[in-house]
Amino acid sequence: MLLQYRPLESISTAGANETTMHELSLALSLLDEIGAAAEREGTTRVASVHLRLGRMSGVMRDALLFAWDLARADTVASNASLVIDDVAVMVWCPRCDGERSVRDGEGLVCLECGAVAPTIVRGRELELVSMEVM
Amino acid sequence: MKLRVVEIQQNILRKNDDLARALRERFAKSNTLVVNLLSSPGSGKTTLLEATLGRLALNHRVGALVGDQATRNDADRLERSGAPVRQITTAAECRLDADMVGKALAGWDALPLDVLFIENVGNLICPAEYDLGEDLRVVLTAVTEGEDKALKYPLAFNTSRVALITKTDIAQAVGFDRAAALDAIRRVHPNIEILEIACRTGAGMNEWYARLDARLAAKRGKLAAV
Repeated sequence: MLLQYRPLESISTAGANETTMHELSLALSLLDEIGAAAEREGTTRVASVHLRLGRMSGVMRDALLFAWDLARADTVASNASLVIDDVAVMVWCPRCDGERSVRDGEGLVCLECGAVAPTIVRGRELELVSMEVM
Repeated sequence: MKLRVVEIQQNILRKNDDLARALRERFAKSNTLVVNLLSSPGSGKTTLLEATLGRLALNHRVGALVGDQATRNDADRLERSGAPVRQITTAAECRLDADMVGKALAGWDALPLDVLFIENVGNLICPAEYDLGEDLRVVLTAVTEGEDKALKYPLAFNTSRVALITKTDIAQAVGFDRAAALDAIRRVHPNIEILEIACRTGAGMNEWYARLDARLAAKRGKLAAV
């Protein structure tokens, strides 16, 4: 006898607040780029996607993962895992003449010498680095 | 099946950056000074614009695009200034992007403008990431918000050229520590222009208008020289 399975409930977005919706539009942009790259590569199956995400990108990692799960259905990346590398904020310190880190919540201030260092060198990334395709 | 790695190295906001560049070229051709206003909800963006549109309309063609998640309240308020206003209802989106701005400009009979203000959605996180083709990004923080907004949202202040501290007429009543606020802002952007204003009393407003006039003159001068 065949078992009758009920279809999965459609995905609820009840947990998606305003912040998440920002990540949803980013997930859609990400999927656009992935789709274009997959077409260039002549593939319809993407196994994994590698993303670089700066701590100062304004994007919440967990919200993006949540949005990714919603958005990837029926795309070339429907089964793809999203691998996210967090990128710490680095600034150019004019006094040290080099890249230095900062402490969250204390401004763009060099951790080594205390100088204000407003040039952000890293930490704003929202970058599709690579993907694995079949 | 064998997997292979495809290197891409693509900024996800590239499309927005491309659209913003096109907008910037368009505004350069029409000599339009574009000002993007960023703040938390309730910092006084709409109140600032009510006053500013009224004042600048004396000498210039001014207009505003207003981003709001749900209501037309802000646009309705601004329309009373007599200046042309277009609403962008962003629904779930917490920021404006260059595509929304481009679409809002389509078929607008108020164009070309001398000065276009864009009132972003009240939020200091997401709007900081989206270039709208503006000449001038202005961030507002009210004395009622405390002194550390710049430390909490460094990118919004780091990417703005002007910071307006608003509602200074009630600074004393709310125990606002002016020195701490100025220090916080300068810790993320030492060269930012900081103006302290109170729309209700008019304090600091002439300085704000003078800066806008200077920016507009500079933009026109630059174009005239080309």
